[in-house]
Amino acid sequence: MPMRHVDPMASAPLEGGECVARIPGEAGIWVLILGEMSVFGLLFATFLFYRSKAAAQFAASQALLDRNIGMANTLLLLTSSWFVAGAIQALRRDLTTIGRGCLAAAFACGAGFVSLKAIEYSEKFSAGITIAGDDFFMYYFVLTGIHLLHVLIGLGVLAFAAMISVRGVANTGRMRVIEGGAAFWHMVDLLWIVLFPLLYFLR
Amino acid sequence: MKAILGGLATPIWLLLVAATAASWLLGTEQLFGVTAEAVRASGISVLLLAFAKVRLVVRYFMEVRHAPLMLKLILDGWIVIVCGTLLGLYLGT
Amino acid sequence: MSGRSQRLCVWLSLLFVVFFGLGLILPGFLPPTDPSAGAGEVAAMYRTHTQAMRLGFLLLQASSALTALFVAVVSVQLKRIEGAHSPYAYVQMIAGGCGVLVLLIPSTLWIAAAFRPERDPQLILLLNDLAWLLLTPTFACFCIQATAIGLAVLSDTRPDPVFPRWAGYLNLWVAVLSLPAGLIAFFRTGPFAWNGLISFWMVAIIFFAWLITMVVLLLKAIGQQEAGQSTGSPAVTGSA
Repeated sequence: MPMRHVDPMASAPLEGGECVARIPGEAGIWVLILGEMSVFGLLFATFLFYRSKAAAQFAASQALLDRNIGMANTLLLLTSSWFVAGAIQALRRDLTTIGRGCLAAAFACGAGFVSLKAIEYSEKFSAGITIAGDDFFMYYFVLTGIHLLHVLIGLGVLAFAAMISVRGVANTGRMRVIEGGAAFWHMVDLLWIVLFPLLYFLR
Repeated sequence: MKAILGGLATPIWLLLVAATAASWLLGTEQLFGVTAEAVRASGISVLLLAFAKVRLVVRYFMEVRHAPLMLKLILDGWIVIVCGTLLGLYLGT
Repeated sequence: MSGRSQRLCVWLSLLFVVFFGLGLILPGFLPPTDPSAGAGEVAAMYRTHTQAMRLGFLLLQASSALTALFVAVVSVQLKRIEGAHSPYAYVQMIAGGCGVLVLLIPSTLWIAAAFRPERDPQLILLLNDLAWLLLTPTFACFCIQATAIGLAVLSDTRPDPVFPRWAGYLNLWVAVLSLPAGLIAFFRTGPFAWNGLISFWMVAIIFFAWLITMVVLLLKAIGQQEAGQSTGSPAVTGSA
Protein backbone atom coordinates (compact mmCIF):
# COMPACT_ATOMS: atom_id res chain seq x y z
CA MET A 1 0.00 0.00 0.00
CA PRO A 2 1.60 3.27 -1.09
CA MET A 3 2.20 5.81 1.66
CA ARG A 4 1.71 9.13 0.01
CA HIS A 5 2.17 11.18 3.11
CA VAL A 6 1.57 10.63 6.76
CA ASP A 7 -0.42 13.33 8.42
CA PRO A 8 0.54 13.67 12.07
CA MET A 9 -2.64 15.62 12.65
CA ALA A 10 -4.84 12.99 11.00
CA SER A 11 -7.19 13.21 13.94
CA ALA A 12 -9.71 16.00 13.99
CA PRO A 13 -12.41 14.67 16.27
CA LEU A 14 -15.94 15.90 15.82
CA GLU A 15 -16.03 17.20 19.38
CA GLY A 16 -13.54 19.89 18.40
CA GLY A 17 -10.66 21.06 20.48
CA GLU A 18 -7.01 21.60 20.03
CA CYS A 19 -6.62 20.61 16.39
CA VAL A 20 -4.75 22.51 13.75
CA ALA A 21 -6.95 23.83 10.96
CA ARG A 22 -6.97 21.25 8.21
CA ILE A 23 -8.93 20.73 5.04
CA PRO A 24 -11.21 17.70 5.39
CA GLY A 25 -10.06 15.07 2.95
CA GLU A 26 -7.73 16.23 0.22
CA ALA A 27 -7.70 19.81 -1.01
CA GLY A 28 -8.37 18.59 -4.54
CA ILE A 29 -11.75 17.05 -3.82
CA TRP A 30 -13.12 20.45 -2.85
CA VAL A 31 -12.77 21.44 -6.50
CA LEU A 32 -15.29 18.71 -7.24
CA ILE A 33 -17.53 19.43 -4.26
CA LEU A 34 -17.62 23.22 -4.65
CA GLY A 35 -18.03 22.83 -8.39
CA GLU A 36 -21.04 20.56 -8.04
CA MET A 37 -22.55 22.78 -5.37
CA SER A 38 -22.23 25.76 -7.70
CA VAL A 39 -23.87 23.90 -10.56
CA PHE A 40 -26.76 22.85 -8.36
CA GLY A 41 -27.06 26.41 -7.07
CA LEU A 42 -27.47 27.47 -10.69
CA LEU A 43 -30.05 24.74 -11.28
CA PHE A 44 -32.02 25.77 -8.16
CA ALA A 45 -32.02 29.39 -9.29
CA THR A 46 -33.04 28.45 -12.82
CA PHE A 47 -35.99 26.47 -11.42
CA LEU A 48 -37.19 29.33 -9.23
CA PHE A 49 -36.73 31.84 -12.05
CA TYR A 50 -38.93 29.91 -14.47
CA ARG A 51 -41.35 29.14 -11.66
CA SER A 52 -41.86 32.83 -11.10
CA LYS A 53 -43.24 33.04 -14.62
CA ALA A 54 -45.81 30.28 -14.22
CA ALA A 55 -46.44 30.03 -10.51
CA ALA A 56 -49.99 28.78 -10.76
CA GLN A 57 -49.20 25.98 -13.17
CA PHE A 58 -46.19 24.96 -11.10
CA ALA A 59 -48.30 24.90 -7.93
CA ALA A 60 -50.93 22.72 -9.57
CA SER A 61 -48.35 20.18 -10.67
CA GLN A 62 -46.52 20.35 -7.36
CA ALA A 63 -49.67 19.13 -5.62
CA LEU A 64 -49.23 15.84 -7.44
CA LEU A 65 -45.92 15.12 -5.73
CA ASP A 66 -45.69 12.43 -3.08
CA ARG A 67 -44.41 14.24 0.01
CA ASN A 68 -44.30 11.13 2.14
CA ILE A 69 -41.72 9.49 -0.05
CA GLY A 70 -39.81 12.76 -0.23
CA MET A 71 -39.82 13.00 3.56
CA ALA A 72 -38.71 9.40 3.97
CA ASN A 73 -35.89 10.04 1.54
CA THR A 74 -34.78 13.08 3.49
CA LEU A 75 -34.63 11.10 6.71
CA LEU A 76 -32.73 8.30 4.97
CA LEU A 77 -30.06 10.67 3.72
CA LEU A 78 -29.74 12.48 7.06
CA THR A 79 -29.29 9.14 8.78
CA SER A 80 -26.79 7.98 6.20
CA SER A 81 -24.72 11.11 6.86
CA TRP A 82 -24.85 10.32 10.56
CA PHE A 83 -23.50 6.86 9.80
CA VAL A 84 -20.74 8.27 7.59
CA ALA A 85 -19.69 10.69 10.33
CA GLY A 86 -19.60 7.76 12.73
CA ALA A 87 -17.55 5.72 10.30
CA ILE A 88 -14.89 8.43 10.09
CA GLN A 89 -14.68 8.62 13.89
CA ALA A 90 -14.38 4.86 14.13
CA LEU A 91 -11.71 4.59 11.46
CA ARG A 92 -9.66 7.34 13.09
CA ARG A 93 -9.62 5.27 16.26
CA ASP A 94 -8.69 2.18 14.25
CA LEU A 95 -12.05 0.54 14.99
CA THR A 96 -12.09 -0.92 11.51
CA THR A 97 -15.05 -3.28 11.88
CA ILE A 98 -17.31 -0.60 13.30
CA GLY A 99 -16.09 1.82 10.66
CA ARG A 100 -16.89 -0.51 7.79
CA GLY A 101 -20.19 -1.40 9.43
CA CYS A 102 -21.14 2.26 9.55
CA LEU A 103 -20.20 2.68 5.90
CA ALA A 104 -22.31 -0.34 5.04
CA ALA A 105 -25.25 1.11 6.98
CA ALA A 106 -24.85 4.40 5.15
CA PHE A 107 -24.79 2.48 1.88
CA ALA A 108 -28.00 0.72 2.88
CA CYS A 109 -29.68 4.05 3.58
CA GLY A 110 -28.55 5.32 0.20
CA ALA A 111 -29.82 2.20 -1.49
CA GLY A 112 -33.12 2.79 0.29
CA PHE A 113 -33.21 6.29 -1.16
CA VAL A 114 -32.67 4.91 -4.64
CA SER A 115 -35.42 2.32 -4.20
CA LEU A 116 -37.93 4.85 -2.94
CA LYS A 117 -37.00 7.14 -5.80
CA ALA A 118 -37.64 4.32 -8.26
CA ILE A 119 -41.04 3.76 -6.71
CA GLU A 120 -41.80 7.47 -6.84
CA TYR A 121 -40.82 7.71 -10.50
CA SER A 122 -42.85 4.69 -11.48
CA GLU A 123 -45.85 6.14 -9.64
CA LYS A 124 -45.49 9.18 -11.83
CA PHE A 125 -45.00 7.21 -15.03
CA SER A 126 -48.07 5.07 -14.43
CA ALA A 127 -50.05 8.25 -13.82
CA GLY A 128 -48.93 9.37 -17.27
CA ILE A 129 -46.54 12.01 -15.99
CA THR A 130 -43.20 12.08 -17.76
CA ILE A 131 -40.24 14.36 -18.24
CA ALA A 132 -41.86 15.92 -21.29
CA GLY A 133 -45.03 16.74 -19.42
CA ASP A 134 -45.29 20.29 -18.22
CA ASP A 135 -42.50 22.60 -17.18
CA PHE A 136 -42.75 21.79 -13.48
CA PHE A 137 -42.27 18.10 -14.12
CA MET A 138 -39.41 18.82 -16.48
CA TYR A 139 -37.59 20.44 -13.54
CA TYR A 140 -38.77 17.75 -11.16
CA PHE A 141 -37.36 14.91 -13.25
CA VAL A 142 -34.19 16.70 -14.34
CA LEU A 143 -33.26 18.01 -10.87
CA THR A 144 -34.11 14.86 -8.95
CA GLY A 145 -32.60 12.80 -11.76
CA ILE A 146 -29.28 14.62 -11.68
CA HIS A 147 -29.33 14.38 -7.89
CA LEU A 148 -30.10 10.66 -8.11
CA LEU A 149 -27.07 10.28 -10.37
CA HIS A 150 -24.98 11.83 -7.62
CA VAL A 151 -26.47 9.45 -5.07
CA LEU A 152 -25.47 6.52 -7.28
CA ILE A 153 -21.95 7.89 -7.67
CA GLY A 154 -21.89 8.44 -3.90
CA LEU A 155 -22.83 4.82 -3.32
CA GLY A 156 -19.87 3.82 -5.42
CA VAL A 157 -17.66 6.14 -3.41
CA LEU A 158 -18.93 4.66 -0.11
CA ALA A 159 -18.30 1.14 -1.36
CA PHE A 160 -14.80 2.12 -2.42
CA ALA A 161 -14.18 3.72 0.97
CA ALA A 162 -15.31 0.55 2.73
CA MET A 163 -12.99 -1.49 0.53
CA ILE A 164 -9.91 0.52 1.41
CA SER A 165 -10.77 0.79 5.10
CA VAL A 166 -8.30 -1.72 6.41
CA ARG A 167 -6.51 -2.01 9.71
CA GLY A 168 -4.24 0.93 10.31
CA VAL A 169 -5.67 3.08 7.56
CA ALA A 170 -5.93 6.00 9.99
CA ASN A 171 -2.25 6.83 9.61
CA THR A 172 -2.02 6.64 5.86
CA GLY A 173 -2.82 8.96 2.99
CA ARG A 174 -5.76 6.66 2.28
CA MET A 175 -7.57 8.17 5.26
CA ARG A 176 -7.63 11.48 3.39
CA VAL A 177 -9.25 9.79 0.42
CA ILE A 178 -11.89 8.24 2.70
CA GLU A 179 -12.56 11.61 4.31
CA GLY A 180 -12.91 13.11 0.86
CA GLY A 181 -15.42 10.44 -0.04
CA ALA A 182 -17.32 11.18 3.16
CA ALA A 183 -17.40 14.87 2.28
CA PHE A 184 -18.80 13.98 -1.14
CA TRP A 185 -21.57 11.97 0.48
CA HIS A 186 -22.43 14.84 2.83
CA MET A 187 -22.65 17.05 -0.23
CA VAL A 188 -25.20 14.66 -1.74
CA ASP A 189 -27.17 14.94 1.50
CA LEU A 190 -27.06 18.72 1.69
CA LEU A 191 -28.12 19.13 -1.93
CA TRP A 192 -31.25 17.09 -1.21
CA ILE A 193 -31.85 19.15 1.94
CA VAL A 194 -32.34 22.16 -0.35
CA LEU A 195 -33.95 20.34 -3.26
CA PHE A 196 -36.70 18.65 -1.25
CA PRO A 197 -38.43 21.76 0.14
CA LEU A 198 -37.73 23.64 -3.08
CA LEU A 199 -39.66 21.16 -5.18
CA TYR A 200 -42.16 19.77 -2.70
CA PHE A 201 -43.05 22.65 -0.35
CA LEU A 202 -42.44 26.05 -1.88
CA ARG A 203 -45.72 27.56 -2.99
CA MET B 1 -18.25 2.98 20.71
CA LYS B 2 -18.74 5.71 23.26
CA ALA B 3 -16.25 7.85 21.41
CA ILE B 4 -18.37 7.64 18.31
CA LEU B 5 -21.76 8.11 19.91
CA GLY B 6 -20.49 10.61 22.43
CA GLY B 7 -19.47 13.06 19.76
CA LEU B 8 -21.50 15.84 18.25
CA ALA B 9 -22.82 13.77 15.35
CA THR B 10 -25.86 12.47 17.22
CA PRO B 11 -27.13 15.79 18.62
CA ILE B 12 -26.63 17.36 15.21
CA TRP B 13 -28.60 14.55 13.57
CA LEU B 14 -31.44 15.07 16.06
CA LEU B 15 -31.41 18.79 15.30
CA LEU B 16 -31.56 18.08 11.57
CA VAL B 17 -34.49 15.70 11.98
CA ALA B 18 -36.32 18.22 14.15
CA ALA B 19 -35.71 20.95 11.57
CA THR B 20 -37.02 18.63 8.87
CA ALA B 21 -40.18 18.00 10.89
CA ALA B 22 -40.58 21.75 11.33
CA SER B 23 -40.25 22.23 7.56
CA TRP B 24 -42.91 19.63 7.01
CA LEU B 25 -45.30 21.42 9.35
CA LEU B 26 -44.57 24.77 7.73
CA GLY B 27 -45.00 23.34 4.29
CA THR B 28 -48.20 21.43 4.83
CA GLU B 29 -50.08 22.64 7.85
CA GLN B 30 -50.58 26.30 6.96
CA LEU B 31 -49.26 27.32 10.35
CA PHE B 32 -49.40 30.99 9.57
CA GLY B 33 -52.81 30.97 7.98
CA VAL B 34 -54.10 30.75 4.45
CA THR B 35 -53.57 34.26 3.13
CA ALA B 36 -51.05 34.90 0.40
CA GLU B 37 -48.74 36.59 2.88
CA ALA B 38 -48.97 33.59 5.18
CA VAL B 39 -48.06 31.21 2.39
CA ARG B 40 -45.18 33.52 1.50
CA ALA B 41 -44.01 33.54 5.14
CA SER B 42 -44.11 29.75 5.21
CA GLY B 43 -42.06 29.61 2.05
CA ILE B 44 -39.44 31.96 3.42
CA SER B 45 -39.22 29.98 6.66
CA VAL B 46 -38.87 26.72 4.79
CA LEU B 47 -36.03 28.11 2.68
CA LEU B 48 -34.20 29.58 5.67
CA LEU B 49 -34.58 26.34 7.60
CA ALA B 50 -33.16 24.41 4.65
CA PHE B 51 -30.02 26.51 4.55
CA ALA B 52 -29.65 26.40 8.33
CA LYS B 53 -29.64 22.62 7.98
CA VAL B 54 -27.09 22.87 5.17
CA ARG B 55 -24.81 24.90 7.42
CA LEU B 56 -25.06 22.27 10.15
CA VAL B 57 -24.11 19.54 7.69
CA VAL B 58 -21.23 21.61 6.33
CA ARG B 59 -19.84 22.61 9.71
CA TYR B 60 -20.30 19.41 11.67
CA PHE B 61 -20.62 16.46 9.30
CA MET B 62 -18.18 17.77 6.71
CA GLU B 63 -15.99 19.01 9.58
CA VAL B 64 -15.48 22.39 7.99
CA ARG B 65 -15.47 23.71 11.56
CA HIS B 66 -11.86 22.60 11.68
CA ALA B 67 -11.01 23.80 8.22
CA PRO B 68 -8.85 26.77 7.24
CA LEU B 69 -10.62 30.12 7.09
CA MET B 70 -10.67 30.22 3.29
CA LEU B 71 -12.77 27.07 2.99
CA LYS B 72 -15.13 28.26 5.72
CA LEU B 73 -15.62 31.55 3.91
CA ILE B 74 -16.21 29.92 0.55
CA LEU B 75 -18.85 27.57 1.93
CA ASP B 76 -20.57 30.26 3.97
CA GLY B 77 -20.42 32.38 0.87
CA TRP B 78 -22.19 29.68 -1.13
CA ILE B 79 -24.87 29.41 1.55
CA VAL B 80 -25.45 33.17 1.65
CA ILE B 81 -25.39 33.67 -2.11
CA VAL B 82 -27.60 30.72 -3.02
CA CYS B 83 -30.05 31.31 -0.17
CA GLY B 84 -30.20 35.00 -0.98
CA THR B 85 -30.71 34.39 -4.68
CA LEU B 86 -33.43 31.82 -4.08
CA LEU B 87 -35.22 34.07 -1.60
CA GLY B 88 -35.01 36.94 -4.06
CA LEU B 89 -36.39 34.85 -6.90
CA TYR B 90 -39.12 33.39 -4.68
CA LEU B 91 -40.24 36.79 -3.44
CA GLY B 92 -40.14 38.19 -6.94
CA THR B 93 -42.94 35.87 -8.00
CA MET C 1 14.43 14.52 -24.16
CA SER C 2 12.93 17.49 -25.91
CA GLY C 3 9.29 18.19 -25.44
CA ARG C 4 9.23 20.26 -28.58
CA SER C 5 6.86 18.07 -30.59
CA GLN C 6 4.48 17.88 -27.64
CA ARG C 7 4.54 21.62 -27.14
CA LEU C 8 3.88 22.11 -30.83
CA CYS C 9 0.81 19.91 -30.60
CA VAL C 10 -0.48 21.72 -27.54
CA TRP C 11 -0.06 25.21 -28.97
CA LEU C 12 -1.57 24.23 -32.31
CA SER C 13 -4.53 22.66 -30.58
CA LEU C 14 -5.32 26.09 -29.12
CA LEU C 15 -6.23 27.09 -32.66
CA PHE C 16 -9.23 24.85 -32.06
CA VAL C 17 -10.67 27.56 -29.85
CA VAL C 18 -10.23 30.21 -32.54
CA PHE C 19 -11.61 28.10 -35.39
CA PHE C 20 -14.45 26.75 -33.29
CA GLY C 21 -15.46 30.22 -32.15
CA LEU C 22 -15.39 31.66 -35.66
CA GLY C 23 -17.06 28.52 -36.94
CA LEU C 24 -20.03 29.16 -34.70
CA ILE C 25 -20.15 32.93 -35.04
CA LEU C 26 -20.01 33.14 -38.84
CA PRO C 27 -23.10 30.99 -39.44
CA GLY C 28 -24.88 32.82 -36.62
CA PHE C 29 -24.87 29.76 -34.40
CA LEU C 30 -23.91 31.65 -31.28
CA PRO C 31 -26.44 31.46 -29.69
CA PRO C 32 -27.49 28.16 -31.28
CA THR C 33 -30.51 27.98 -33.56
CA ASP C 34 -33.84 27.58 -31.85
CA PRO C 35 -34.73 23.90 -31.53
CA SER C 36 -38.42 24.79 -31.67
CA ALA C 37 -38.07 26.71 -34.93
CA GLY C 38 -40.07 25.38 -37.85
CA ALA C 39 -38.82 24.18 -41.22
CA GLY C 40 -39.60 27.47 -42.96
CA GLU C 41 -37.61 29.53 -40.47
CA VAL C 42 -34.61 27.23 -40.53
CA ALA C 43 -34.53 26.96 -44.32
CA ALA C 44 -34.74 30.74 -44.61
CA MET C 45 -31.68 31.02 -42.40
CA TYR C 46 -29.66 28.74 -44.68
CA ARG C 47 -30.83 30.63 -47.75
CA THR C 48 -29.91 34.08 -46.53
CA HIS C 49 -26.50 33.47 -44.96
CA THR C 50 -25.30 30.72 -47.27
CA GLN C 51 -21.71 31.77 -47.94
CA ALA C 52 -20.94 32.78 -44.36
CA MET C 53 -22.38 29.49 -43.21
CA ARG C 54 -20.33 27.41 -45.65
CA LEU C 55 -17.16 29.13 -44.50
CA GLY C 56 -18.05 28.76 -40.85
CA PHE C 57 -18.76 25.06 -41.22
CA LEU C 58 -15.40 24.51 -42.91
CA LEU C 59 -13.75 26.18 -39.92
CA LEU C 60 -15.66 23.85 -37.61
CA GLN C 61 -14.33 20.87 -39.54
CA ALA C 62 -10.80 22.19 -39.21
CA SER C 63 -11.28 22.80 -35.50
CA SER C 64 -12.47 19.25 -34.94
CA ALA C 65 -9.30 17.82 -36.46
CA LEU C 66 -7.17 20.05 -34.26
CA THR C 67 -8.57 18.48 -31.11
CA ALA C 68 -6.69 15.33 -32.05
CA LEU C 69 -3.43 17.11 -31.26
CA PHE C 70 -4.56 17.90 -27.75
CA VAL C 71 -5.87 14.39 -27.15
CA ALA C 72 -2.57 12.87 -28.26
CA VAL C 73 -0.45 14.90 -25.87
CA VAL C 74 -2.77 14.12 -22.96
CA SER C 75 -2.28 10.43 -23.63
CA VAL C 76 1.49 10.83 -23.78
CA GLN C 77 1.42 12.39 -20.32
CA LEU C 78 -1.01 9.82 -18.96
CA LYS C 79 1.31 7.12 -20.19
CA ARG C 80 4.04 8.61 -18.02
CA ILE C 81 1.81 7.95 -15.03
CA GLU C 82 0.70 4.47 -16.02
CA GLY C 83 3.82 3.06 -17.57
CA ALA C 84 3.84 0.21 -20.04
CA HIS C 85 0.29 -0.90 -19.34
CA SER C 86 -1.80 2.16 -19.80
CA PRO C 87 -5.53 1.51 -20.20
CA TYR C 88 -6.47 5.05 -19.15
CA ALA C 89 -4.21 6.58 -21.78
CA TYR C 90 -5.75 4.42 -24.49
CA VAL C 91 -9.32 5.03 -23.33
CA GLN C 92 -8.63 8.76 -23.36
CA MET C 93 -7.23 8.56 -26.86
CA ILE C 94 -10.14 6.53 -28.22
CA ALA C 95 -12.80 8.63 -26.51
CA GLY C 96 -11.02 11.80 -27.54
CA GLY C 97 -10.76 10.51 -31.08
CA CYS C 98 -14.50 9.95 -31.09
CA GLY C 99 -14.75 13.53 -29.93
CA VAL C 100 -13.15 14.58 -33.21
CA LEU C 101 -15.90 12.80 -35.11
CA VAL C 102 -18.57 14.24 -32.89
CA LEU C 103 -17.68 17.66 -34.27
CA LEU C 104 -16.65 16.58 -37.77
CA ILE C 105 -19.89 14.84 -38.65
CA PRO C 106 -22.28 17.63 -37.65
CA SER C 107 -20.24 20.23 -39.49
CA THR C 108 -20.45 18.08 -42.63
CA LEU C 109 -24.20 17.77 -42.23
CA TRP C 110 -24.43 21.53 -41.88
CA ILE C 111 -22.36 21.91 -45.05
CA ALA C 112 -24.82 19.62 -46.81
CA ALA C 113 -27.68 21.81 -45.67
CA ALA C 114 -25.92 24.94 -46.91
CA PHE C 115 -24.82 23.25 -50.14
CA ARG C 116 -28.32 23.20 -51.71
CA PRO C 117 -30.36 25.59 -49.60
CA GLU C 118 -33.21 25.62 -52.14
CA ARG C 119 -34.05 22.07 -51.00
CA ASP C 120 -37.35 21.12 -49.35
CA PRO C 121 -37.39 22.98 -46.00
CA GLN C 122 -38.26 19.79 -44.17
CA LEU C 123 -35.01 18.24 -45.40
CA ILE C 124 -33.03 21.28 -44.31
CA LEU C 125 -34.71 21.03 -40.91
CA LEU C 126 -33.76 17.37 -40.71
CA LEU C 127 -30.11 18.05 -41.53
CA ASN C 128 -29.99 20.89 -39.01
CA ASP C 129 -31.60 18.75 -36.31
CA LEU C 130 -29.28 15.83 -36.99
CA ALA C 131 -26.24 18.03 -36.73
CA TRP C 132 -27.22 19.68 -33.45
CA LEU C 133 -28.32 16.41 -31.94
CA LEU C 134 -24.96 14.91 -32.82
CA LEU C 135 -23.72 16.98 -29.94
CA THR C 136 -25.41 14.47 -27.63
CA PRO C 137 -22.73 11.82 -28.11
CA THR C 138 -20.40 14.34 -26.49
CA PHE C 139 -21.92 13.42 -23.18
CA ALA C 140 -20.79 9.87 -23.56
CA CYS C 141 -17.43 10.39 -25.26
CA PHE C 142 -16.28 13.40 -23.33
CA CYS C 143 -17.50 11.93 -20.06
CA ILE C 144 -15.40 8.83 -20.58
CA GLN C 145 -12.43 10.84 -21.77
CA ALA C 146 -12.46 13.10 -18.72
CA THR C 147 -13.08 10.19 -16.35
CA ALA C 148 -10.07 8.37 -17.76
CA ILE C 149 -7.91 11.43 -17.22
CA GLY C 150 -9.29 11.92 -13.70
CA LEU C 151 -8.73 8.34 -12.63
CA ALA C 152 -5.26 8.28 -14.13
CA VAL C 153 -4.25 11.48 -12.35
CA LEU C 154 -5.59 10.22 -9.03
CA SER C 155 -3.71 6.96 -9.43
CA ASP C 156 -0.41 8.80 -9.67
CA THR C 157 1.51 7.89 -6.56
CA ARG C 158 4.89 9.45 -7.19
CA PRO C 159 5.97 12.29 -4.89
CA ASP C 160 6.22 14.70 -7.82
CA PRO C 161 3.13 13.84 -9.83
CA VAL C 162 2.69 14.52 -13.54
CA PHE C 163 -0.51 16.42 -12.79
CA PRO C 164 -1.58 17.92 -9.44
CA ARG C 165 -4.22 15.94 -7.63
CA TRP C 166 -6.83 18.66 -7.89
CA ALA C 167 -6.66 18.22 -11.65
CA GLY C 168 -7.83 14.64 -11.20
CA TYR C 169 -10.86 15.79 -9.24
CA LEU C 170 -11.45 18.58 -11.75
CA ASN C 171 -11.63 16.07 -14.58
CA LEU C 172 -14.02 13.86 -12.65
CA TRP C 173 -16.20 16.90 -12.00
CA VAL C 174 -16.20 17.92 -15.65
CA ALA C 175 -17.05 14.33 -16.61
CA VAL C 176 -20.18 14.34 -14.47
CA LEU C 177 -21.02 17.80 -15.73
CA SER C 178 -21.02 16.74 -19.37
CA LEU C 179 -23.89 14.32 -18.74
CA PRO C 180 -26.70 16.91 -18.94
CA ALA C 181 -25.80 17.30 -22.62
CA GLY C 182 -27.86 14.16 -23.13
CA LEU C 183 -30.95 16.08 -22.04
CA ILE C 184 -31.12 17.95 -25.34
CA ALA C 185 -32.79 14.90 -26.84
CA PHE C 186 -35.84 15.56 -24.68
CA PHE C 187 -36.50 19.27 -24.97
CA ARG C 188 -37.07 21.85 -27.68
CA THR C 189 -37.36 24.78 -25.30
CA GLY C 190 -36.12 25.78 -21.91
CA PRO C 191 -32.77 25.53 -20.15
CA PHE C 192 -32.14 21.90 -21.14
CA ALA C 193 -32.60 22.31 -24.89
CA TRP C 194 -29.59 22.48 -27.21
CA ASN C 195 -29.61 26.27 -26.94
CA GLY C 196 -30.48 26.29 -23.25
CA LEU C 197 -28.79 27.95 -20.30
CA ILE C 198 -27.74 24.66 -18.75
CA SER C 199 -27.28 22.21 -21.62
CA PHE C 200 -25.46 24.66 -23.86
CA TRP C 201 -24.08 27.71 -22.07
CA MET C 202 -23.08 26.14 -18.78
CA VAL C 203 -21.58 23.08 -20.44
CA ALA C 204 -19.76 25.17 -23.07
CA ILE C 205 -18.26 27.58 -20.55
CA ILE C 206 -17.08 24.79 -18.30
CA PHE C 207 -15.66 22.88 -21.26
CA PHE C 208 -13.55 25.83 -22.36
CA ALA C 209 -12.39 26.57 -18.83
CA TRP C 210 -11.37 22.91 -18.59
CA LEU C 211 -9.56 23.05 -21.93
CA ILE C 212 -7.51 26.10 -20.99
CA THR C 213 -6.68 24.59 -17.59
CA MET C 214 -5.57 21.34 -19.19
CA VAL C 215 -3.40 23.20 -21.72
CA VAL C 216 -1.61 25.01 -18.88
CA LEU C 217 -1.18 21.78 -16.94
CA LEU C 218 0.07 19.95 -20.04
CA LEU C 219 2.73 22.55 -20.69
CA LYS C 220 3.85 22.25 -17.07
CA ALA C 221 3.94 18.46 -17.29
CA ILE C 222 5.98 18.59 -20.49
CA GLY C 223 8.44 20.90 -18.77
CA GLN C 224 8.65 18.52 -15.85
CA GLN C 225 9.28 15.65 -18.24
CA GLU C 226 12.09 17.54 -19.94
CA ALA C 227 13.69 18.35 -16.64
CA GLY C 228 13.64 14.63 -15.94
CA GLN C 229 12.23 15.22 -12.49
CA SER C 230 9.76 12.42 -12.59
CA THR C 231 11.73 9.32 -13.32
CA GLY C 232 9.44 7.12 -11.24
CA SER C 233 9.60 3.54 -12.36
CA PRO C 234 6.78 2.64 -14.76
CA ALA C 235 6.13 -0.38 -12.58
CA VAL C 236 4.85 1.82 -9.77
CA THR C 237 1.26 2.11 -10.75
CA GLY C 238 -1.83 3.12 -8.79
CA SER C 239 -3.60 0.92 -6.38
CA ALA C 240 -1.69 -1.47 -4.25
